[in-house]
Amino acid sequence: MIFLKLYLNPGAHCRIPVFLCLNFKKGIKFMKYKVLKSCWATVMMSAKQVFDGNILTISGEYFIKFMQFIMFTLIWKSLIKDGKSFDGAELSQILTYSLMASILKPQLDIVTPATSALWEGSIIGRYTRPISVIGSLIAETIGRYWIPVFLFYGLPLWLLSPLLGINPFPASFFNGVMAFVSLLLSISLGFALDLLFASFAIRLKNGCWAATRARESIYSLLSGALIPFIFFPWGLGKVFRLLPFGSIGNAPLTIYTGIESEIMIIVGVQMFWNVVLWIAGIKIFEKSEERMISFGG
Amino acid sequence: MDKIKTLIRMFKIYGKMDLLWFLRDTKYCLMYIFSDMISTLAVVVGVFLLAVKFDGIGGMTEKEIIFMLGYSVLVEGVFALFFISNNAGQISRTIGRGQMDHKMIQPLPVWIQLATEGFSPVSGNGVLLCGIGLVYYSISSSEINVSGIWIVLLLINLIASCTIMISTIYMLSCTAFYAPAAAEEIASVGIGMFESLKNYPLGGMNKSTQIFFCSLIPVGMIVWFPSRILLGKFDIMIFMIMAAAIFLVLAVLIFKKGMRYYAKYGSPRYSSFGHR
Repeated sequence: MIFLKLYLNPGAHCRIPVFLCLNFKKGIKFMKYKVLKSCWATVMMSAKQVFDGNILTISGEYFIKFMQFIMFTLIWKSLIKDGKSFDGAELSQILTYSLMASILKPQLDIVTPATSALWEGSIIGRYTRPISVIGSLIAETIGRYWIPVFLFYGLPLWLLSPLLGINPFPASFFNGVMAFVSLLLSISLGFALDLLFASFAIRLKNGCWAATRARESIYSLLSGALIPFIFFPWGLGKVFRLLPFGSIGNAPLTIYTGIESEIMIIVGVQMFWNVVLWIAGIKIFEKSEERMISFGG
Repeated sequence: MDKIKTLIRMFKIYGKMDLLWFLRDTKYCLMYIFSDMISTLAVVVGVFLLAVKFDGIGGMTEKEIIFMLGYSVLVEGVFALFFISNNAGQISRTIGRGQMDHKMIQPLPVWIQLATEGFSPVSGNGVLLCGIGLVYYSISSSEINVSGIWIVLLLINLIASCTIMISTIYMLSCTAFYAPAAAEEIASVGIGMFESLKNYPLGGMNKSTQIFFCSLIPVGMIVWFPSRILLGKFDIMIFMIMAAAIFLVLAVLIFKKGMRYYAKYGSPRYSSFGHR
């Protein structure tokens, strides 16, 4: 019945043949296949687009990212003497933190094309594709930012890091596994926050670009992806690590490096924010969609 | 003399247009001003927190770091004041989109257009005001001996810092003459480089790293080095002026070379059905 409704509904994003609707199991299998296929096609299309005549800008961005990483490495080395610890963290852990923050930046600072598409007016195209709007935005983010950055920046830097005197591995096997779980929760939280921000941007109409700029700066400060929270004075880090932004950057990085001792609490906090922000994100986005106005250009 | 008069007239025109934007679309204009202020301050807050935690970094005390960050915001404010509008600070967009033609047909020298079209005394002043406030706070809470000469020194350094910044961005942007599509957004990369790297003191690093960050990647010449001069930690003022002059001459030469190439080959993106 659900499938029949989907097929007949002109607003449905997936068209499902009637014969499959009669068989529930086959229908589910077919729908999953179709959704996955659409997502994968979007991911690959976006990944290929990145270098489509844009090579100099992209290479420049990677170069700045690398320079920023080098600068932070030198600053941490000048602040903490080798072999000595600072607030329970050793220099080697801080360097690994900076390395992984640089490599995982696209995953820890999720910016989907939602706001830029709204600004450019190309958001309308997402409503004509055979994939849900949110699914399309997620697939585009993976294709446009994750795959190229991982292949041409993250992986080479991770492999070369021992030459720079940095240990790229997690503190232990357990830390590695838990950091992976935490990273998945961070990514999910990042998409939820982006959805909320896109809803906010819809209401700002032509001012959405201004808000994006402010968001990016605040995001990198409050997530701990730029400067680890242990370097914040007045106990600010302890407060920030419990906030949604801190759950995105600080959580997986401190677990990976072994700086965080209360792993289960941090993962629990991430789960809590995921539930709260996804419910809020979807509800608010659906309401905001009705107010969408784009002037384009 | 005529050119100076034209220059002033153009500044007046662009200033008036910026004021009109503020009057006609106050809500959005204020939104842009505040977002610029927030993003600039958010970037410097991180370094400030580090300085508080470690009681100073890179051979500078906490108060000196506050001055340095104030100077950094001031530089960004001056840059915003003169280059934020009409892609004046992101010239690779104009070049890459084949829009230099629009400038070449105007009855004005290209350099006057480039120097004036970014002038935004209203929408671009938010960051500048923040910078003035921060510098004033840091001066009043530290032992800097402020005199008329010191203020002149501050202005000279400010002009030199902005000259190095805009010259570097223009040099980078010249790649758009040869690769219009690939380098259309290269100026944003240059601006991003200065935004993300200029606020860190280089004092704790070795000499070769300092030289690297003051020459090939001149982020140290924008904030760290001039701050040292103004804090009385480095006496040779002429070094900053010389550096600014070298960057400016290089930028002019490279830009002229690019313009000659543009005059000969045009932009392949200028098609019969539009400029993109």
